Amino acid sequence: MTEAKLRRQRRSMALIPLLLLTVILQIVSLGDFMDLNRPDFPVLILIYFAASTGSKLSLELSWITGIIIDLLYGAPLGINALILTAQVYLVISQFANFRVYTIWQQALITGIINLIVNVICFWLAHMMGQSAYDINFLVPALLMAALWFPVRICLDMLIGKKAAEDGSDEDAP
Amino acid sequence: MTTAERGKNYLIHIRFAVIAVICVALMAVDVRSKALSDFRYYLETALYPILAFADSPHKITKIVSNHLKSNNELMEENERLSAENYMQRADILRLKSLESENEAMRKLLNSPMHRTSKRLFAEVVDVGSDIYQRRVVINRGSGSGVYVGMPVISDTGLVGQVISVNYAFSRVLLLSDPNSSIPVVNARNNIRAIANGDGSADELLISNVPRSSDFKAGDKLLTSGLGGVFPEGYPVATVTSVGFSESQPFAFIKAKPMVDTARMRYVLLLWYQRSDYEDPDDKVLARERTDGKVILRQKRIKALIDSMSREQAHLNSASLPEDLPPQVRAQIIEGMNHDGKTSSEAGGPR
Repeated sequence: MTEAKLRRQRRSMALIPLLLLTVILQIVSLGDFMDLNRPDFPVLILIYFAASTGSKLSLELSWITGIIIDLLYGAPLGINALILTAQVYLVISQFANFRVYTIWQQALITGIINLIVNVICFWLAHMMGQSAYDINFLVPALLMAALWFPVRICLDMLIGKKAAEDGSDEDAP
Repeated sequence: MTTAERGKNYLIHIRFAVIAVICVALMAVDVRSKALSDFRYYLETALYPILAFADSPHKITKIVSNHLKSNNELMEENERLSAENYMQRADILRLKSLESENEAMRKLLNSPMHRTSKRLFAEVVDVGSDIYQRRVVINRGSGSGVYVGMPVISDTGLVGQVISVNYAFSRVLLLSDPNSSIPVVNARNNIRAIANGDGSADELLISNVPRSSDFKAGDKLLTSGLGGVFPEGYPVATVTSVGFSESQPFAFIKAKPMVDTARMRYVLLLWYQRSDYEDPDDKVLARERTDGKVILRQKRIKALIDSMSREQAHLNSASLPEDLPPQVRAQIIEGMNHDGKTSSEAGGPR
């Protein structure tokens, strides 16, 4: 088995438990403030793997993760799946060189995309009668941007920066 | 950009377009029809361990805090609970006598009896929910006999109703959810209204109440029992503000729910018999008239008709030919009498 294959295996093995952890973080009670302004934790992991390591099935994986969150929330099936997939799609389609940006640029993009997608999905939810009027879009987006720093640093350390770079060279989106 | 890269980008757009279409179609089907309810039932039941795991930090905190309580604290709590229990048992004695008195009164008035036969204690699973909805998850499902539409209360008032059921857990639509409407009655003056959730946890809107209605801040709102979903008489909210505007035909009334849905930990599920459901054994029939004057009048009319028919038969027998044999004559008179009776019964007073 080549070294590149081993690295890829290591990446996939890290992705599933990390996604499970973020799904649990998405439903666990984190206090009044965080419950109201909860950032999309799985999106951070999915964006990292999609953009930095060039995961081939990132959109499909985002969709499945979103469906699981819908089922756990009791939300209309597909709404969180669309929120997650749209964010990953925008990063990999509009920012082809995302992995070479500086960390603060990546954080800014993550925050802005989260804001845009959540506003669109809020309109969609309203059209279907799932209305809520005190949703704050700005704070979750800011939290997403702020969380990108620790997530990026931790994941770089966990799976190795080299592995990420190798992966992105092998199979870019 | 090379041709291969352009091709890859093109593929990403197609993949996303397919996923977006699937998502929108799923949302529409899930919200507008029940086609996916079985699919959801099994998948959500299978995902219950994740919900239970997400609730574990709260459970662990509770266990640890219970273990760390000192002996003095436990004794104080025990004393307080014993006193509370004693007072409540005394109240229950009075409640039983009031219930039987109410039952007797209702029987006298021929009103249907209100029954809440069975109750079930449930614990709120402390997990975050969709920000678009005000719902909580409880640890009882169809395995415990929970059904959709079941009223849910707590020790302080009405919580809401069960909106979806799985084998191991259920979701409760809180009264503060924008989709929730509860028929209420003002405890002070029995004015009926509808309490709607507006999405915020500590506010309800009382809609379509005319400006002239007598609503004041501090009024208690109870369930009215109309609609047949919620039992009558459970506290729902307290009116906090009443506003009027010359340009609006209705008053702008806000109320604060009795239950703090963000803090509640335990709830009670009620098996409430809907008011439109009629048990054949409990069917209430209209009472028979016992007015003496009416009966006497009916008897007098009946007697008058009988005597008139007899007189008519006598006159008919007198008009019969003289040469008829006595047996045939008797048969004809009997037949005439019978006809007279039948006609009096058919045309008698109802």
